[in-house]
Amino acid sequence: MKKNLILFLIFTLAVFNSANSANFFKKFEKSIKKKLKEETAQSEEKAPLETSDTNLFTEDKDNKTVDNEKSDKSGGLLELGKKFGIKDKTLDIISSSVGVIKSQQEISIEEENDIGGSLALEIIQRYDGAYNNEIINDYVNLVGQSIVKYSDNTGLEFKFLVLNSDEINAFAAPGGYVFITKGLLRIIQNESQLAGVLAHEIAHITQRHILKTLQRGKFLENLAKLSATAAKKDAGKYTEIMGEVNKTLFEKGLDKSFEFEADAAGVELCVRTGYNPLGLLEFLNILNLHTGKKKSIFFSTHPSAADRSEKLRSNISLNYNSDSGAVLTERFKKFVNK
Amino acid sequence: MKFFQIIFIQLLFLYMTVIPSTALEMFAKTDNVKVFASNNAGSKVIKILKKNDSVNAGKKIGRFVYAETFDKKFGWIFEFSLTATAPAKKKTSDKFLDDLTTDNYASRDSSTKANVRGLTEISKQYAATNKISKKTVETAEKMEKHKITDSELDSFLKQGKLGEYIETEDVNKPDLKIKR
Repeated sequence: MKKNLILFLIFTLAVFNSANSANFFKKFEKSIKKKLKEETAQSEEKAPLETSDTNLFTEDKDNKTVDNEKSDKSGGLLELGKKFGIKDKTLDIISSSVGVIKSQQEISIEEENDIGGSLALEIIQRYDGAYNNEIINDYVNLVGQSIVKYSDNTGLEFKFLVLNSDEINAFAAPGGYVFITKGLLRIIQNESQLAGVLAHEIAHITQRHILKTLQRGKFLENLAKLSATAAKKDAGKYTEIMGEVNKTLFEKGLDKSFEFEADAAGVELCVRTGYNPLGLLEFLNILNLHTGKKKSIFFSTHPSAADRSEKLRSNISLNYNSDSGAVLTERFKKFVNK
Repeated sequence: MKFFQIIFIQLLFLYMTVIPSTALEMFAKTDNVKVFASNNAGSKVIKILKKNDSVNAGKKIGRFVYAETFDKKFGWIFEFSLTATAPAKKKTSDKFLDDLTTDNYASRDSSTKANVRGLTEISKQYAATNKISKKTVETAEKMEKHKITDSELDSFLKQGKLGEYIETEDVNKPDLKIKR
């Protein structure tokens, strides 16, 4: 009985305290707003905050009294700090530090789709559009979706497209966009090799390699550029960001370590799906023989085939049975009409 | 000596009873995850799970895991159709950091929008401001809308003996010898 009474008293005290804290918070808020209104009435600047029903400590999305240009650079608690006499230089440091912190936080799926969609448009435009063969496109989608089904996909909708270019290349864009060229498809000999290439690209997306590369770049530049809000407010700024994305994909390529990681993860995905683990390794050997002295664009944005083959071979011999798994040469030939 | 004997017996008891009976909670990765009567895809389908449905996974034979579904049905599920990672909860907003500036990361809250197919408004805006041709935009939209049904995918896997269809015969058939 005593115990229950004590518990009831503690509970009542807790409820009472929290109610009081909320009241105190509201009173504090009102007094700050009153002070700010008095100060801004004296100065020439417009008040950054409007009516009494605006919560001081939340984002002021529809604030009509704010100068829109100024709201891009400062606002919220930083603005409040200014009113209390904190120097601009200090506030700038805080603001850019926040930017750095934000740039290290994960990009949301929606932002990923924004970047991926824009990049997909660039890829399609640069590589002569879609290959006009629905049967082959459907087939590539089926192989790709088979692999995605058993991957550790975190909710993205994957889509696959065969591009009309004769160049030998494959691309992955954030948001689940995977492309291979007609030229690449021509040199592949069976379904397990196709699966190996697609699995490598899928792994780039599920491991967020392009996004990680971008975020590292932002960190070095000390800017938090990437945001859907930035794009909506400033199309030029978003184009600048996409310029960096395009450079990474089409010119510089990803970190070597990411390519090796995608190779390893790709083989794992192939094995999970039931394909022979040698598919990607065989593709690299074919590519090397096929291009010979003539360097494929594929190689300019990827580590050397020799390095990749060596690592892959070692990984496969340690972890997988290279005699097992489907190769599906006949089915590949049937769809790709060889 | 007797003390150590008692400890050993207790540990042995623990190992033989508690640990084996501890099942791992796992979740269906996608829709259309089949629960089979035996550890092969040739057997009867007892139940079809939806994405994120939870199961208690126990013993593994070959590539199939014996599991108990949320509605107390027992059967075998292809191991790679399950994940131990619980479905992601809605991310807490970056309100603290957002309050320091007026950056609005509202997009982080609307995770449901990410599942809608089609180019996003920002991608379309990018196309308009960067001389991306209309044909390219149409191609991208078509790529977005291309959909494969569960039954088409299932049929493709079955035909190629891929995924759970790797094993369509009896329980004692040797595994694909994945060395781990």
